[in-house]
Amino acid sequence: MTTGISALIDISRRSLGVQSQSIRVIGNNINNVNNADYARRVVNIISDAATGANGIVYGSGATITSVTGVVDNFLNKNYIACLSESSSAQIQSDYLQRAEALFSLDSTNGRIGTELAKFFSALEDLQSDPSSLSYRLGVLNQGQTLTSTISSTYNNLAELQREANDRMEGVVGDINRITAGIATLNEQISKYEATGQEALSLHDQRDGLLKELAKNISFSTTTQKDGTINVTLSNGFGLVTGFNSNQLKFSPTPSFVDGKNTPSALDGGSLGFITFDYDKTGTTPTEINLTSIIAAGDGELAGLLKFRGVQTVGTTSAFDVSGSIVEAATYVETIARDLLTRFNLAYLAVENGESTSGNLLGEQTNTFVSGVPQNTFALFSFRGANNSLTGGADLDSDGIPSQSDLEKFGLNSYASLLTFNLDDPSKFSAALNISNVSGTYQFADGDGSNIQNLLDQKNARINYNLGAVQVTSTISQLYDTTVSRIGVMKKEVTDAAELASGKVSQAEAAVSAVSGVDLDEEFAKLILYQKAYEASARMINVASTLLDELINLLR
Amino acid sequence: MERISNLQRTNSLMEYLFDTKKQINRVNQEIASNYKVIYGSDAPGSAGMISSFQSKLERLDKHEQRITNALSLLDTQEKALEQTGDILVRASELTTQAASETLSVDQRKIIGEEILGLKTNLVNIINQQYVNSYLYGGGASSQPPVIRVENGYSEPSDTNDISARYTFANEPGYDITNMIYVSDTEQIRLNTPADEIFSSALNTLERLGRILKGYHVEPAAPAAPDGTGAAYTDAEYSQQTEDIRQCIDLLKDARVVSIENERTSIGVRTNQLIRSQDVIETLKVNIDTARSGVQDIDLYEAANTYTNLQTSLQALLQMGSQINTLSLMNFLE
Repeated sequence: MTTGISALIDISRRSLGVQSQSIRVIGNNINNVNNADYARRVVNIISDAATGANGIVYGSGATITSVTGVVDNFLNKNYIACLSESSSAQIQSDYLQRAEALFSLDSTNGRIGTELAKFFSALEDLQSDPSSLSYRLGVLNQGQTLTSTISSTYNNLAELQREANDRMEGVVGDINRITAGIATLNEQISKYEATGQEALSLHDQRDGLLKELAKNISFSTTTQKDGTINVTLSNGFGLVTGFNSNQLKFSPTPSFVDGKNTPSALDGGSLGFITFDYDKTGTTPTEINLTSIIAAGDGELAGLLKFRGVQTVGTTSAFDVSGSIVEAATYVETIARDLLTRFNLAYLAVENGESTSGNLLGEQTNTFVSGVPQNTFALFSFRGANNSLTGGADLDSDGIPSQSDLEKFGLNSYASLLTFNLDDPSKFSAALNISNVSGTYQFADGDGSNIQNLLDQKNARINYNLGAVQVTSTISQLYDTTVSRIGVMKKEVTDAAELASGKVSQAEAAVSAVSGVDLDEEFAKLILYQKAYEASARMINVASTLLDELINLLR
Repeated sequence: MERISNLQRTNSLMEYLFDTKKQINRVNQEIASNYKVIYGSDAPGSAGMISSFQSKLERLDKHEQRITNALSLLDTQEKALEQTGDILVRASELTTQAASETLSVDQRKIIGEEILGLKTNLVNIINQQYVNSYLYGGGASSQPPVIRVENGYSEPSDTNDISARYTFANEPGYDITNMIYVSDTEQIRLNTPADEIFSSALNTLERLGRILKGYHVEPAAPAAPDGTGAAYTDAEYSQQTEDIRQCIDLLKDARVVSIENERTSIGVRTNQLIRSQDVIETLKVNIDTARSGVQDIDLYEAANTYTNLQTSLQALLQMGSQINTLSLMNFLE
């Protein structure tokens, strides 16, 4: 009987321990109720081996075997994938919203479409009285406003690309910091778990870092037997392998370029590649290009790449880069180049040979319109053109302002530097040569034939080559198409962002439903453990009373 | 049974709050700008159309403004022609009076003085300026269309109104007719070269003035004067009378054929402009209505949406505060 009372005290004492430790776990859960990275803990209790005497088994209480975090790996992976998808769409949406503001429809001032309309209206005004100084000034003012609007719109797009490019460098830095953190946690977890302990808080920290990483880049993970995880890109490149992280680089001149051409940014600067350098010593860089593979995935870095554009080694033009901001800028650049070539050509009236009589094409460097010797890029020019009667931007010296001149001149963009070449209203060439004698020039005061040449271009439908897209339209319609196209691009990513955001919410809710802390549940368990603790204490009290009775009996 | 964690409840609430606030912000923006389509992405299918409508409205405004100016110009031309008609009528009256052989040579010279005055008036009308340009300058609107040539006639040798000739400037551009765009493709003529309208009137007044002042004008009418013509002799009184009578027909031709024809033409063009103005007005209303239908907000609907969203926000906030106070803890003693 004595043995029985002693066993009762022992089992009660152990029960007190189990209940108090369980309450401690609940306390920890409650403490982390607002920690998104925390997986709620549960206490795993088993019955101790049964003991007894005389063939009667009484049992010997319970023991806590472990405290585990409640985690569903499938849901976590889904959540991480959703985070990447949402982050990619959101960053594109944010940047495209800023690009789209340049083409907004709530104001007509400072929009290329309206300024084009105003320029043509100014030409029509002048056509009604070609000698009028005020109408000539109107053309000059509208021409200058139009060119400054085009260059300002383009430069704003270029600035957005530059900003996205610079931001990528910061994101790559973040990725490196996070992967290094994961590698360190891998090492710590491995050490802990080798001793048979569960490093739950380290798992939580690593899960938190994985979520942070997912916002930046998409990846997949594989868990190893030692508790470590490997983080890899879709091509198998390991961002984290065991205790090591492979640090990415953001470099405009990686080793694989090696003297080859690379396209410049819209502003003429350089665009960075995302690379990894296998040469740890840094003496002979051996980099691989991860830009395309990252862009094909999700996460902020991919979103930025899709917006900024992915460059291909071997191409040269800023417009060979594939990205949404480049597509928008291509439209603006096309409008600028159209003004520089087709409208200048019409202004010089060389197409129909009206500006000079006789052998016009042989006299291009002396082309006269309205008695004023004209440069090749006479009406619309660009800063740095070195526009002059001979040479300058007319690199093939045929007197015709053409795309080939612009290609040979080799500027990154002409929209960014577009100018209206005239600053003296009297030098605007409204008339055409009416002399019948070769090499002589005669112009009728008040003749507006050359204005008509320009106005004829207004309604001409042109086949515009916009990279992958061909558009046949007037120059004004091309702008309308630009507004539509940017709207479509923005709408696509906004819809994708909203969809991804919904998926994140659902995935987060699913993860939280499994791993999150519910205070009511914890309170209910608290009552349970508290009552069990009270009962255990009462059992000790009963055992004490029994012992007292026994001692009193012996007196 | 699906568990719902505290964080999940809070996150859901925050998400609904954020969404509602975002929608309120959007409606605010729409009400402030009066547009439901502010960016292309708000309605990508309509964005290009809205942009096109905006450009068209801009251009229609300019066409309308140009037509208003043109109407004012044509009205000025019409008044000039009316005055010219009055001059020619007065000249006809004087010529009929002077053609009578009851008048002496000296009395004819007095009438001739008034005719020369009418000629000067006509020249002033032809050379009048409209907004710093010569009304009948054609393409060469910075040059007066009629130039006085002193001693343009061989006789008399004195420099005076009798020996002065008026010629129409024939430098390049004088015969250019200015056109204005009344739509993206249609143009209407604004003017007729001055010599086409006024040469017969001016030549006749010049011829008549000289005849009445006692000088021949060669060659004979209806050919234009060439600057020659000697003085009538006393024996040529009847010839002078005959020459004066010829001028009555010339004045009539100048008024009916040149001036009235031009007035008719101006009337036609004015009507064309007014019709174009009406068309533009209609187009503007139609295009703006179409644009408005796609782009503008319905204020009533927006205000209603705004009120509903505010109610939703209030309900969410109340719900949030109540959910967070509901806890098993409240029921534990």
